Amino acid sequence: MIRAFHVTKRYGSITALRDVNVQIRPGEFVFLTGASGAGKTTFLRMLYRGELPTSGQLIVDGRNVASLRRREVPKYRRRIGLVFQDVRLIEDRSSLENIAFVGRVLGLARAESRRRGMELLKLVGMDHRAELYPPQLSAGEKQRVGLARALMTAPVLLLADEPTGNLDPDTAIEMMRIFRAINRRGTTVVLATHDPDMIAALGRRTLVIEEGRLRSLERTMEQESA
Amino acid sequence: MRALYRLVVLCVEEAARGIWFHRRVVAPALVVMVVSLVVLGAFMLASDNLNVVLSGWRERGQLQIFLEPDATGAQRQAIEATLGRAAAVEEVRYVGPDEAAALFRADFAELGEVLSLLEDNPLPASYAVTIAAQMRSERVLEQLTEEFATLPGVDGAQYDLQIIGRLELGVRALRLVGVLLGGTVLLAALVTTANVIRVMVFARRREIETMRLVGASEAVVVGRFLVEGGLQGLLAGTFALVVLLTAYSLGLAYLDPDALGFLSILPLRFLRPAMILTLLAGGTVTGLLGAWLAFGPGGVRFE
Repeated sequence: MIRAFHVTKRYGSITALRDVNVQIRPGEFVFLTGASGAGKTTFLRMLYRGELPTSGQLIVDGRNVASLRRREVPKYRRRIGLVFQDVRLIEDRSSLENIAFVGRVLGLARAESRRRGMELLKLVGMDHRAELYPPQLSAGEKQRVGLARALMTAPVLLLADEPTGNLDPDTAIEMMRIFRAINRRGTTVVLATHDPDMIAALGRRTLVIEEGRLRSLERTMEQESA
Repeated sequence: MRALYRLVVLCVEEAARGIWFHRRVVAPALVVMVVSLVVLGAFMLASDNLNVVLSGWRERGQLQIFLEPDATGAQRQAIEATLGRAAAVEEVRYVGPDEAAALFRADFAELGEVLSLLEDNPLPASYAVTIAAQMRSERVLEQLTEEFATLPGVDGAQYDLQIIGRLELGVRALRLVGVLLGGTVLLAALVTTANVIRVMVFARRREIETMRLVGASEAVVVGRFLVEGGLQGLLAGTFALVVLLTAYSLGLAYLDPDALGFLSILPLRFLRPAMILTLLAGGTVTGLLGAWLAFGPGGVRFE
């Protein structure tokens, strides 16, 4: 699903990522971890083509990200679901409208968008909150709506940037349960977090970024430290 | 085709929603645009009504031959004979000084009283000459006027086209003023709309970024704001028409026709359908251009 060959990203004199080489297989669930500012978000941004590598090759879902033409980017992004720490829901739309809007933006009819939106809200256990607006939702509920929105495009790859960063432990565990359920359906998941407990609890392959360099741990950090 | 239809529907819905939710931001741009379109519409209304009068006069194709006060009967007979021989002349009617005074009183009610104050009727006798429809050109009228003006007993000759020409010049000047004034205000409306759209784009920056990240094409992202600008212009055009129609109806209802002076000769009619469409289209295009400017060179840029 993802292959990076000697990927480097520089911002002026600052090197955010240095000679990254990694492969993530289709259907895999991978954690991306590292200290704040280590380069996790930069790596994710390059995956959804929010940034371009300064050098190296980054292949995602068979496409060379750097060689995508500007007009090809929207189509490419429709294959990728994005979950943000700050969720980014539109405040003046209900939960269902937030999700259905993505469907409509992608060319679905209104009724079809709402139907699929409801299905996804049900998947994340938020169907009973469909008509509520973001300010009426808790942080965990917002995050689940954000996750449902990311799934509206039926993505082959789900990228999540600190999706549990603002959540209490119980809600975070619930979120992870949903991510695992989505992964079991075949969607590749790359989840950035700096929560070692969560990584340990799930026991999945972990990519660690330290000072811009990436290394892959086949076992969890907890297992490693033990 | 269906995808395009859905895109248009989505853009229109989003635009209407945007205008409603940001109505306080949109209101100033709308007001400026309404004012500019009212100015343009008012000038269109005035020049159109004047054009109706002018074309009526042009169709009449009349020529006036004023007689000298001491013109003899023989001279009048000679003039009538000359007029009778002229191929371009369709009809000749003698207008005596008393009839001329009566016509003047009928046309200008207030000024008519002035005639009563004078000892003698100053209005000369004349011939109202109607030119055959197929001969009504400025060249023919000018030629005939010159010819008839030299006849013995004739004080002078004048044809309507001279007056029409002067009035046409006035209408053209009026139109130019309208275009300049309306255009200037419309330009201000365009810049205001562009700025309002820019503010709205910034206000919804996060929303737009999110749209892009979920794979929305630029047609959707930009299209909704273009439609929003166009819709604002269309709304402004509609409001401007309401203002014009209200002012026109009130004017007709409450203004004394005699107080209008020479304007009382106007048949007075509201804007024709084509002009209404022009005004609506003008507003829509201005709004569209304003929105396009917001995204164009120097416009909003963010990823």
